[in-house]
Amino acid sequence: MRPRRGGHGRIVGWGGGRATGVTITAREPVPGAAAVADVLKGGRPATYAAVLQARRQLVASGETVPMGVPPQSAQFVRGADEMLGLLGARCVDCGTINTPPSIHPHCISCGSAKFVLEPLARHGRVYTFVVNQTMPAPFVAPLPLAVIDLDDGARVMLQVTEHEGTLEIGSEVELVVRRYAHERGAPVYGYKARPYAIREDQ
Amino acid sequence: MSWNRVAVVGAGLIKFGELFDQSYEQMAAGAFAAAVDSVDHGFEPSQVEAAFVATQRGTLWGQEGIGGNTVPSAIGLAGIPCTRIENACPSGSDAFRVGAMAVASGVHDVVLVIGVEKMRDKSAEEGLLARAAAGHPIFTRGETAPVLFAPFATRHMHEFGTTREMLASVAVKNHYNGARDPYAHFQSEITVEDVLASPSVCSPLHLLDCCPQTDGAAATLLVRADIAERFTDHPVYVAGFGVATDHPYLHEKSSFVGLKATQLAAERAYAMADVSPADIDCAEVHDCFTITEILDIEDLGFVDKGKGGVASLDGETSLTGRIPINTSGGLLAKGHPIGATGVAQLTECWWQLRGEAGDRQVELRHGNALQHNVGGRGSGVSVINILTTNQP
Repeated sequence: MRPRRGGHGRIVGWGGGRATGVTITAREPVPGAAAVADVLKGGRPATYAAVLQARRQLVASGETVPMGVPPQSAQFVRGADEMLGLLGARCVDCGTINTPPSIHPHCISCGSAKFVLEPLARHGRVYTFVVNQTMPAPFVAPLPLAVIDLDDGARVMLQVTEHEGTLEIGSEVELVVRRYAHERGAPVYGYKARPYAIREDQ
Repeated sequence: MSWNRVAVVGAGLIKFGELFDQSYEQMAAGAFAAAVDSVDHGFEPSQVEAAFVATQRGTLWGQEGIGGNTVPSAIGLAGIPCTRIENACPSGSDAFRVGAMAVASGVHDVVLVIGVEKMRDKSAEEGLLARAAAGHPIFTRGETAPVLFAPFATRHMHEFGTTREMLASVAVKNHYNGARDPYAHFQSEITVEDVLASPSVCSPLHLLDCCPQTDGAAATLLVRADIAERFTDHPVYVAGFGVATDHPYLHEKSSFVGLKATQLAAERAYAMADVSPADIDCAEVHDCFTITEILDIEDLGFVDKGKGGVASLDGETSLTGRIPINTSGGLLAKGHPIGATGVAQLTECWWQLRGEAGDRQVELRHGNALQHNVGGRGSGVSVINILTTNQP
C-alpha cells in the first residue's frame, strides 16, 4: 500500500482464531511512507505454523510434554501403581476391570467398592480413535489418542506412539512404557500404545 | 403432578460474537434488559425475587469467583438472592431447571434465569485448549474438547456408514439457519465443500465441524403460571425437564455411538412432560460438533439409532423438515458461550412457540419445543427442558 492524497487502504489481520480489519484513509501524504514501503518489499511470506513457531506457541520437535505438575506431586503418589505398575482394579462382585484405580472408588458397572488390583493385559485392539491436530504447545501434532480394549477386557484410553499413520479400528496394539515428560529435572514415565506389528518386525 | 406450574413470560439475548467491547457485567445487563423488554404487558425489574446465573468457566477471562455475587449488582438488583449454577455445558439449561424448581416449589413467584460467558478475552492456547494438559497425568493427556466427541464420529462412521458429507450437512444446515438469526455469531451460509475443505482439527472432525468460541449472554423470566396473565396473553409453560449423569471419562463408555446421559435425561423429560418425540415441533440440541447433533437426534428419539447422518443429509432436520433442529443456528453458527448457551436455546424455543421466529419460524403442530445440552468431560451430564404453549 502506498498512501497518497485521498487514498484508502484496508488491512485485514488473521491469526490465533481471530480476525481484525482496519480501514485507513490518508488525506495528505504520509511522512515516511516510502521508507515503510521499502521495508515491506523485503518481507517474506510465512505459513501460519511458522508464525506460531516464531512466537514459540508451537514447538515442532521433542517428545516430552510438561505435565503441569511436578512428578513428586500428590497426583503421582496416588497414581504410581496405575501409571508405572499398570495395575487395574477388578471388581470382586462383577469382574469388571476399572481403570485407573485412583479415580474409581466404585465399580463403573455395578457400583461395588470391593476390588483386587491386578496387572492389565499389555495387548489389545483399537475400539475407536482420533488424531488430534490442535493442541497448545508443547504438545506436538499429530497426536493419535485411542480407546483400546485390552485382551483381559479392560478398556483404556492412551496416546499412540510409533504409529506411522496406520491406525484404524481393530488395529492390534501393545502397551509400552514411554517418557511422557521431563519436567523440573525429573522424567515422567507412563504407558502408551503402539502398533503391535512393530515388535514383530524387530 | 404435585408441583406448581411455571410460565416463561420473557426471554432475550444479546448478539453473540467476539465482544471485546463488553464486560461480563455489561453482557449480563444487556441480556436482562432484552428479557425485560420482551414482556408483553411490561415488567418492572424490581419484581425479580431471585436469580440463578449460569457461568461455566470464569477462568477464561481470569475470574473464577463470579456469578452469584456479580450479576445482581450488574443488573441493578443488588440485594436479591442469587446463586451460580455450574454444570458443564448444560450450565444454562440446568440454571433454568433450578429456576423453574424455585417457582414450582412455591418459594418464589418471579425468578430470573440468566447465562453469561466470556470466552474470547484469552487466546485459544490459554483458554479451552489448555485442557489438553488437565486431568489424569496419563490417561487424558492431549484431550482437548474435540477429543471428547471425535471418537464417537470415528465409531459412528464405522458402524453405520455415516460419512463426512453427512456430518458436513449438519454444519451447512445450522449456518443456513444462523444466517437468518440476527443474534448468531456467524451470519453466512456455507457449503458441504467448505466443510470438507476446512483444516483438520481432530480427525475425523474439521474446523467447520466445530462450534466457535463465543462471548454471549441470555436471560429468561419465569413466573408462577397462575399469575402469568399479568405479564402476557401468550405465556409459554415449562412442560418438564430431565437431567442425567454418566461416567465422565471416555474409556468408561460402553458405547461410542450414543450418549447415555442424553438418553436417560430424555426418558425423564418426556415422562415428566407426558409427551413423546413425535409431539415436539422443533428442538434446540447440543451441536458443539456436527457428530454431536447426529448423536443427539438419535438419542432424543427423533430418528432411529444410526440414521442421524442420513436424516441430516436428507433435510429431515431443516426449517421445513419433519423435525426442525437448531433453528437458531445452533452452537455451530450462533455460538457456544457455555453458560449462556442453554438459556439462549430456550429463548429460541420461546420465540418459536410464540410464532416470533421470523424467517426461521417453523410450523407449529403440537405446541411443544425441546431444548438439550450435553457436556462435561466425556458427556458426563445432560439436561433437557421441554416448553409448551398447551395450558397445564
